[in-house]
Amino acid sequence: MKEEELKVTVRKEDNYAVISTEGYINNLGGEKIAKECYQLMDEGVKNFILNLAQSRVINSIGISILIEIIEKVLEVKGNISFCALTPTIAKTFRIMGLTQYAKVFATEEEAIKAITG
Amino acid sequence: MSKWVEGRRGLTLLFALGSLCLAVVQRMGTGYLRSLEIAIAFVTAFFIIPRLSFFNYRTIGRQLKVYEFTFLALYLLGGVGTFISFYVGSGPLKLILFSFLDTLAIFLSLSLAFSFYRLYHIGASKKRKLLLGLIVLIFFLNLIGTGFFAILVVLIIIHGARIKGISSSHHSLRIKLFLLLVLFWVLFFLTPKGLFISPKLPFPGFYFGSSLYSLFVKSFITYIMLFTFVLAVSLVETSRRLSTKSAISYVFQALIPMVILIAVIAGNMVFLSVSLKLFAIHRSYIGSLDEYVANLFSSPSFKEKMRNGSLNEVAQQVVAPIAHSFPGIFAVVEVERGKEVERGVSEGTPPDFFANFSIPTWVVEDRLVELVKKGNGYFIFAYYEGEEGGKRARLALFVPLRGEFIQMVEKEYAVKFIPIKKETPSADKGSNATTIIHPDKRGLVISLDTKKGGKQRTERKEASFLNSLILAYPLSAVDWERGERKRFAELKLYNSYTAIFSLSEGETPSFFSSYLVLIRAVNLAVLVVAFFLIIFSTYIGGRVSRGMKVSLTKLVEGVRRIGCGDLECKIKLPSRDEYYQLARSINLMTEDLKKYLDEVVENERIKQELLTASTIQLSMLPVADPKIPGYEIVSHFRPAKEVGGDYYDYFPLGDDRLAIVIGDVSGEGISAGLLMAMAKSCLLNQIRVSPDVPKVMYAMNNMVYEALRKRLLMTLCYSVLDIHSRTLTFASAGHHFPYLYSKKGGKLSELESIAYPLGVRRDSTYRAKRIELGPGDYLVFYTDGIIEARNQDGEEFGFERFERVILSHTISSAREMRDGILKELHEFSRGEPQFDDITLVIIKVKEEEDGF
Repeated sequence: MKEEELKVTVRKEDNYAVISTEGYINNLGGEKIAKECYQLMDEGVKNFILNLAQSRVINSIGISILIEIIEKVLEVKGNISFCALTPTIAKTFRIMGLTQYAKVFATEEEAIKAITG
Repeated sequence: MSKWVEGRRGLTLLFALGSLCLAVVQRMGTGYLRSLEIAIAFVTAFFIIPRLSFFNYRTIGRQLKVYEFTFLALYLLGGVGTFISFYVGSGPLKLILFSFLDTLAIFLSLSLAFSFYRLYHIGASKKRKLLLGLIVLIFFLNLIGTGFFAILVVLIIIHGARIKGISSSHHSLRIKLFLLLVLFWVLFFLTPKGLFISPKLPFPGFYFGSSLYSLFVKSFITYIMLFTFVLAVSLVETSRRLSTKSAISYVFQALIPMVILIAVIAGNMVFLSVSLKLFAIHRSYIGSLDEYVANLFSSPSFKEKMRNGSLNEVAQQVVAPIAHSFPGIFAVVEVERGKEVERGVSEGTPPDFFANFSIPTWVVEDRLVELVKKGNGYFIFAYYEGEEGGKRARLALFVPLRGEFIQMVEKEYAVKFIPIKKETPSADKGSNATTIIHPDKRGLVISLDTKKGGKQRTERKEASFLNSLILAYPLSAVDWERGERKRFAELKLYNSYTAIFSLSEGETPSFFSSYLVLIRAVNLAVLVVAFFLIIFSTYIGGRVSRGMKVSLTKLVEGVRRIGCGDLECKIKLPSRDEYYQLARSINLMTEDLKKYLDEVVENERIKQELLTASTIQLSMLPVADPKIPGYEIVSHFRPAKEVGGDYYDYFPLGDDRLAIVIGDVSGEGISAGLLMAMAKSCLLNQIRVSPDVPKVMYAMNNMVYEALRKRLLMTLCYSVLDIHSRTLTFASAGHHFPYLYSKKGGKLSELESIAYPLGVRRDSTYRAKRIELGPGDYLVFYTDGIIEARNQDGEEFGFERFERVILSHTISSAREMRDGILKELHEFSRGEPQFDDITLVIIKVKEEEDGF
């Protein structure tokens, strides 16, 4: 299990932001994502797309942080969606109940499309 | 300019010019000459020398070698030239050579000062550099002024061949050099100034900064000084060894040679005082006698009497004025009158001195004879020969060495005349008694005072054994007839200690006694210096060994304290030597040890915690799987090395229901174990109140919400199996969905129940789902440890593989299915460590043929 540091890239659009991750989403990685999200939320962004195409592994703490993000986004009546998930992560998200409040899309385009309508 | 002076040719030219200029100046006037010389030398030393090519050599040793040998050659050349010019040279040539030599001397001393300065200036502060430079400069300049310079030159020549010490940057060698320099300097000031002033001796000296005599004195003192430095250096060196060794080597290297040296010098002084006494005696009797006779011969009235008067009267007249000083003295006078030789004698002359008497030829040839033997008697003998109007005149004076005269001398000079018995039978002690001297090449015989001396002590208080050293001096006389010299007696000389160390020349100073006194002064100075050196070296030795002992004791104490576990202990040493290095290493080691111990303690703590957590976890889990008719229930729990937080349990709800719980606490260690304990007690409480699935889930969620830290979650799947109706009611909170294999449909499905793990939101509600089971159906509960197990390539075991394994065991028993899954899992993750707990619970609804 490689534990290289997670890289996070943020692309901010008019009414949404795309956060792309690369690497293992664990405690540190999750916090990095959370930090970016909360900063964007402070800037007024309400719609988030998390592209996890480059992340193949996620641990329980990583998931709990993602849940925390979802909860925060819901508090500000925002919208969060995941895209490009590996089958295992997709299933894990479903099991862990993340899909109750966050939509999952196959590609980033679909996710953007869903937001921009 | 710098290029021009590079190389020896330029340098030599520069010197020639400088010397010529100085010579001209010297001829013109004197007043400012010295200062001009020094000014020129200064400019050369500080502006030209640093630019010379050889000064850029890497090692100072090489620099000095080239430097010294170049200039020493010039200097010696100049010296030889000057020496020659003393005898053959004319005025101006001598002057030129002198000025050339002076310039060279100043130049060389300045450049040496510069070299030493460069040697020690490395890494020193500006102030120190300046101070050192100044000291060194003054040192060398002073050397020229006092003629010490020549000694330095000689020393450099001697040591020039192995000048390694200067070129080496080794610390101890530097210390040596520095000590050499400093001590030289200090002693230079301490030594009596009189020793450095050349005495006006009648010997012709040659120019070398000073006369031959002062060169001798100075080299002697220099030798002593160098000896001291070597001593001090050897002390410093031995200080690096253990105290015993250093003490021994100190004794051998420092004390013994120094004591020997002092003994030799002291002995030398004793001999010197003897010589002085002998000289005084000689001068009082023989010297004065010679003088008296010489004066007499030069008097005209005496000459007249010799020509015409009665020779017996003449002889009597010669003897009369000195008879009181020389008891028993008699004279023999011979004068050629016509063809005859007439002879006259004084009163009291023994018969054999005028009957058949003639002055033998050896007396005429060897005028230096002072003691003679004639018959059985020994005499002091003075002889004079002269010509008066073509006529030969001779005068011989004899003082018999016996009775009254000997007593007088003995009393006057604290000596004792001891005749050699074999030679002179002691029958007539008085007649054989003798005195006086001529220095005999056979030397002195030391005889320490015996009982005989003790007797003399009572007689002669001023020369007792207690306050004097007694030395015997051999006396020899020339046989009158045969001209042979033979030892006949010895003179015991009593030297009081005050006389030994006295610098007085006595009542009758002369050139010879002055010379002896001077030597004695040198000896005394050396003795004083040596004495101070012993004190100094003892002080240094004591200090060094004390410092060593203190350092060692501190080290030993420190190491013992560290050994007892005091890792805060720091060994502090004031010195900066090897002990300091050792102490530093020990201090560093202690620090490392402390860090290492902290790590070990921390690891041990973590290990203990994990063990405790693991124990708690295991104690939470069911001891055995329940045996329920119509069902086969098997489980497997395999903890990871570090506690993963898996939990499963069974709760029988009366006779017809069984609650099955499986969960996973995120986090590890004690916290996970504690949460599990809380979960279990909460479950027990809630089940007692109401075992309904939604209520249990609701209660558990709130419990976890309250109990767990942020971002820590617990997944849980709670299900209730109705044994008789074969139904399963379940709800899941973030836990992996259990699998259901339905034999009827031949399908494997997941019992989905989507919800957040426990503890995300307060008061979450959970919907229970209900399914029906048929014979041959399997329920598989599991945790993520199975799904996330990895093989060597990092590939996950995954859901698909898991499902495939379940499906391949649907006709076997629950136990066989469990074993099959574990076998597959084991083979998959062969060799790879298990990162998470693995929990598996399989329930098979037995078919009728299974014995339901």
